[in-house]
Amino acid sequence: MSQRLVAMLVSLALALALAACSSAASPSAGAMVVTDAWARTSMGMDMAGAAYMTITNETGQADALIGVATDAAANPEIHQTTEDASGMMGMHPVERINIPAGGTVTLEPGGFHVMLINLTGELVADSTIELTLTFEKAGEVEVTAQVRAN
Amino acid sequence: MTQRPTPEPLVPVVGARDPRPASPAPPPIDRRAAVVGAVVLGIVGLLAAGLVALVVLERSGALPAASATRSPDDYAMAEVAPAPPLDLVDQDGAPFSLDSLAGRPVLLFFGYTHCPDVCPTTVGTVTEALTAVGDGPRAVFTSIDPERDGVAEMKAYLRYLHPAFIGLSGSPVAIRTAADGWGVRYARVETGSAGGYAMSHTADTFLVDGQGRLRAVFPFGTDAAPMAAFLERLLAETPPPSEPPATPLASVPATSAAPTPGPSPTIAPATPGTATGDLLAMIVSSSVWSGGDSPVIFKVADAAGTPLDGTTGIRARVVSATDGTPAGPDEDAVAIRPPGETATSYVASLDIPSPGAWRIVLTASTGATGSVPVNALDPGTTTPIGAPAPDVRTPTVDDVGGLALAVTTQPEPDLRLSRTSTADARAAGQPYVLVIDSVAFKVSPACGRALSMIRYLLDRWTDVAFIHLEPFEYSIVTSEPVLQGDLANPPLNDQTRAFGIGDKTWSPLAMPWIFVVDGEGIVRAKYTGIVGSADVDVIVSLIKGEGVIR
Repeated sequence: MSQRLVAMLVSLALALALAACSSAASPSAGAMVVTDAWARTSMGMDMAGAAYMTITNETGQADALIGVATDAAANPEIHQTTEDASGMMGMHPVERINIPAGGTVTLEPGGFHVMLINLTGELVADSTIELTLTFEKAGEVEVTAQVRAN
Repeated sequence: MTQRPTPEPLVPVVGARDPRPASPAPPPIDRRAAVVGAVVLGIVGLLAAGLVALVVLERSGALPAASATRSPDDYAMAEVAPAPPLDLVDQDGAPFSLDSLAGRPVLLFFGYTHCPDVCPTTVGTVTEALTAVGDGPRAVFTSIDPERDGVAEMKAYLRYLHPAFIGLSGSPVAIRTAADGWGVRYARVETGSAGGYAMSHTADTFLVDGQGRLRAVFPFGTDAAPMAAFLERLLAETPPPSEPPATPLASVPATSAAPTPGPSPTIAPATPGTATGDLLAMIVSSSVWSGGDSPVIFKVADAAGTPLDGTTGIRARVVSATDGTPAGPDEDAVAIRPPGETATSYVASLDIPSPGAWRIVLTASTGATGSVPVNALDPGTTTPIGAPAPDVRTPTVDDVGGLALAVTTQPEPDLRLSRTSTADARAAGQPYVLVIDSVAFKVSPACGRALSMIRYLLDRWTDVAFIHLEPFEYSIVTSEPVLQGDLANPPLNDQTRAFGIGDKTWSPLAMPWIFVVDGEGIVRAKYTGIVGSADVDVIVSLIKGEGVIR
């Protein structure tokens, strides 16, 4: 847990494009900033994997994560684990994760996560996988996630 | 769930549900504090902003941070008592019991191999703790997903875990029995994910000492540090056997791996909730009602644990839980396998005389018998099974001018649940499943769960109407639903009242409810609290006459 490898990415071209098209509304518009992206080492290929990250919306307008694509899994889905008041923890797919302007959403164990269903290969420690996040307004953002045990 | 009786764990695992000390959870957001002026229902305004707020609220469910500063004592059991039994089957197919690990501390938890988030997180934390203290302790992963996890699956899964791990599986009955003993709850939940169904479950990690006593319970999200510190303490109390065996189960004779004849060794006969006799039975129904015929759904297996597939007939009879006196005749159970399902269920319509503990005796056409305890609920004034559903019109999204929030407080509404009214279904002679549940006004831990479960059934039964009804009167204020009253005594709306909810037996705090109504408008099943999807699926299949084997 100690050494979080920060593998992140600000897509300059995207940021510029966004700034151009939304400059009237938000002169300080930046980008979707994704940090601490990681995926857990998988239990072989039959069981789904999970990827986590922190997303900060610096675009100046409310946006939402609406999709994830990756070569690492045939069916990546955005899921959320929630715990009810009785302590039951359950997981369900979500269609979107809203991120207010200036807000940060953390995908973390026990909360939101990218479920990597039908892995195309085993996720082995110290490797990386590429994820393409799709935001409703900011469009696509490429992310590299480190694979590690926990 | 305030009124619904729940089975007590064998050993009072006091505090196991949530020994979490007060601080870690993020402070809940008081929605009403954000509300300034009352704007009547129907004003659309900032719906989208409201959705953002709700999603942010949902985030408060994520795991608490910074448990590293906690002392091991924060997780200790106040009273040290023998650990509940864990008599299941290990990854090599051999019978397992905690006794086989005597002398060693054991970290154990319940999960399932298809779990991508919670269980691997716990595996990781437990692994860190094991690694920190070195040889001696063992870890036990018990699957609560008997449909997918058998001996072979556990064996394959363990390849990726620390060698101190043991993986347990067992029959659905054996798993449920073990979990009940530990106060562990779980339910299959359909999510519509490409990954198949999910299992919701409690996710505590238990620590058993070398004398087989339950010493600590760590809630999900606890760091490895306090677990490791507690392990060190137990190792100091009782040094483990000096020569660790090559495998943790080396003492079990190899022959015991063969299928054992006779009653399953994984079942402790004296355990409440356990079947007895040479048929093993598990009640699937999440609500069984007294006072008139109520459908009771069973899964039945033979003595070897092989599920009956419907070629064998089953009759069921209600008897006294205390002296076995029959309380009704033998009733033939219908064997049914809903489309696409592989498991066969048996459904018997039983008239249980009064609420409380009863036993159901099953007799197979082969002559084998078994029995299973059941707790019958008091229907109060709720619409009886077998009676016509009340003639009410639940509001549809079209009735309210398309304002989804006026008919459902789901943050991401599935409007397929709000297109048809109960009155429309009745007029069309269409069966319907009415889900009375609220996401915004959580008066019970089960709130919202009936809705998420029913969304899966929507895709399975396209010619059945699935209808969501919010139970309470509320307004929409700046795009947020605001209860017209106190959450401790929420005002039921007329439609919900029409179903007899809100009497002294079932207060407005007992939510959610599901009523399954056939094409003739007759209530065929009803449920309260946590409802399994297999439950409603079987009843709908029965109404539709699909998948009936005998």
